[in-house]
Amino acid sequence: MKTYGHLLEKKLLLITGKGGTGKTLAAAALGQLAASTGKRVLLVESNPQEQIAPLFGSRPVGHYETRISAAIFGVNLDYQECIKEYVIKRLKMPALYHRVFERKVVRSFLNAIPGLLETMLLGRLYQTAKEGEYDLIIFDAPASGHFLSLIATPRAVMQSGLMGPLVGEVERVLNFLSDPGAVGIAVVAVPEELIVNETVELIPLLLKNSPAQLAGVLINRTFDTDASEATQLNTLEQNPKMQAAVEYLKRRIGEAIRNQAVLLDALKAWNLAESARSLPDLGLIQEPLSADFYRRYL
Amino acid sequence: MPNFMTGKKVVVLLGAGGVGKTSTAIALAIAAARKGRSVGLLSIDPAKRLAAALGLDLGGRPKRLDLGLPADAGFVEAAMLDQKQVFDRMVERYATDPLVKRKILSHSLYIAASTKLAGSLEYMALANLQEMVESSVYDLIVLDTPPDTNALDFLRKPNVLAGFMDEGVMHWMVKPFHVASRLGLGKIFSVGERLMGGVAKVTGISALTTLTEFLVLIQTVIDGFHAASLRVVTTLGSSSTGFVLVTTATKAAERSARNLGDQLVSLGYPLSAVIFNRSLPNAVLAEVGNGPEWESVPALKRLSQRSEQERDLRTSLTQHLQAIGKQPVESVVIEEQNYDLHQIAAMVQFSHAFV
Repeated sequence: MKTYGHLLEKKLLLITGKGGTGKTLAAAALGQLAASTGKRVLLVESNPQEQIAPLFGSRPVGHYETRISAAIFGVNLDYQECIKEYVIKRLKMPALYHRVFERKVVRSFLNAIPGLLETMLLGRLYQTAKEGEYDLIIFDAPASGHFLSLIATPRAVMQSGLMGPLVGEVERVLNFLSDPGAVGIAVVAVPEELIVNETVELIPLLLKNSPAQLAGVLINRTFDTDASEATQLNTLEQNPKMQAAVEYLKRRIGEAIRNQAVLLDALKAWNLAESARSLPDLGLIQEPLSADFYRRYL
Repeated sequence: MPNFMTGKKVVVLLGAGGVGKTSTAIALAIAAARKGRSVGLLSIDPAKRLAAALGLDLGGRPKRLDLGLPADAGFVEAAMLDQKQVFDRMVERYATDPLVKRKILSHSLYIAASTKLAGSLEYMALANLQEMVESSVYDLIVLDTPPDTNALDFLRKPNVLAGFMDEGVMHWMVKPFHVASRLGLGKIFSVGERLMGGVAKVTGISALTTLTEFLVLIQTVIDGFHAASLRVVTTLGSSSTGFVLVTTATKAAERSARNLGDQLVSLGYPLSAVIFNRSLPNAVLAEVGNGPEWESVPALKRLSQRSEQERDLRTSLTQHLQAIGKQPVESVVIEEQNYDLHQIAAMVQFSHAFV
């Protein structure tokens, strides 16, 4: 099996990429791999529609760290709960929270403060990492556009002239994110032309605007680069009963191989080709994932 | 042009990221134009290549697409906007005072946060939609919602914005500022001081001053938009507005579509149709399982499993949507195309799939 130390030897791994590329599956598999090496893993998402829990056959876990597999925990972070934790547990101002932050009118006002919710979410990830209960936290992060906003928030807050205890927190979060030994980003792509183009646009933006290091790229739904699948299909080509299917598959595989090559070539410019990992197209993924799913996938 | 578009003046496409919403929006718009309709197409945050393929700069006014349709056909004018331009245009449109406009565009909070004020991307998309509706140039507008957003927020926006205003947040934040300035007090907390003090403890006093200053500046923008947003609510709630889910046959996309369908119905917006994009071509489906190779060759076996999955997901989603909706939901299956969609001629060809 290939090595993933460059992604897993961290305290926090953030997984992003265009929508539909398989971020959640990658997060789950990497979590399984890390757990198999003895690590205690937390898989995190922040989604109105939970994606991680169903992969492990669990009911939605909500904002409560819940064991979803032998050594894997899951949590679905809610912004309001993050604010509550911050004000009550870290600022130790429970009365303030209940008097002010629970008020509906204040909640909508808080939504209007740019960057506040993002700061709360990143702060929560930082705190969880610091507490050390988990060896590795994997965040199934929002898709690229939103992720860029999220990851750029700490710097934006520091540059916007805000003051107060929150900014102290942001500074600590920023230092944590900037430590490549502690935090890394993995970008997930698929070998489709549009996605390859968008990924090639995303990477320089991340390199420029993210305090966290881009640790690696995962290319999902790839085929063998020696086109062994295509070779297999060649032998069936003459069969009139399979013509449409074989033609379809050969075309898809050919395109995927081409697009994969284009992406890997582009990654060379950023020294990301060596560390890129190509993951197979496994077709229909059974939910819940089998305990050894990661062995077939990674 | 599919049935669900008959009699519609606005069609809103919803769906998870990566399902092909933008190409579908373009194809639907072209299909309608071929039937003689004057179509406006609005895409927020599309892939730059798609915009380039249509010959569009992000941020421009709607531009007529060069489709090569017969003389008696309609037309498509398309506008594609990215986040920054959407908000900048809002400021341009609604800020009445040029000095205020300049101050907003250079305000530290605006620059630091770009367009993230209160999920403004969705608000602004709706404002643009309303502009196009009221321009009376188009008899059909197709709105391609931003990719990878929570489309539920997008639909809640008109009501949430109205609620935000009704809460009087603007009033108790902004009014005291004006009053205090007039009295020369320089303090902003004459009303709701305990609440504001509470928030200030956490976020810092100058943060609130900065924010208040900013809110004062954009008050005219918000007021202008608020009026428009009430009209948007009317447009969205009209029977001549159709909501369409776009999905592919993956569990994640289907889960999103199911959730979106549920929320749409609970918000009181009926679903007109669901489009199953990138489906296996019929010619391929006809061959599935017609020999032992379909079990023994891995690629064929995966294809066979995929065809089953597509069928099952399609059935279960359609059944679910029919059950929750009060009106029939049209199911449209679009085959995966075998050519590069990033040229206008290809998109015209793709539009034929939406007959």
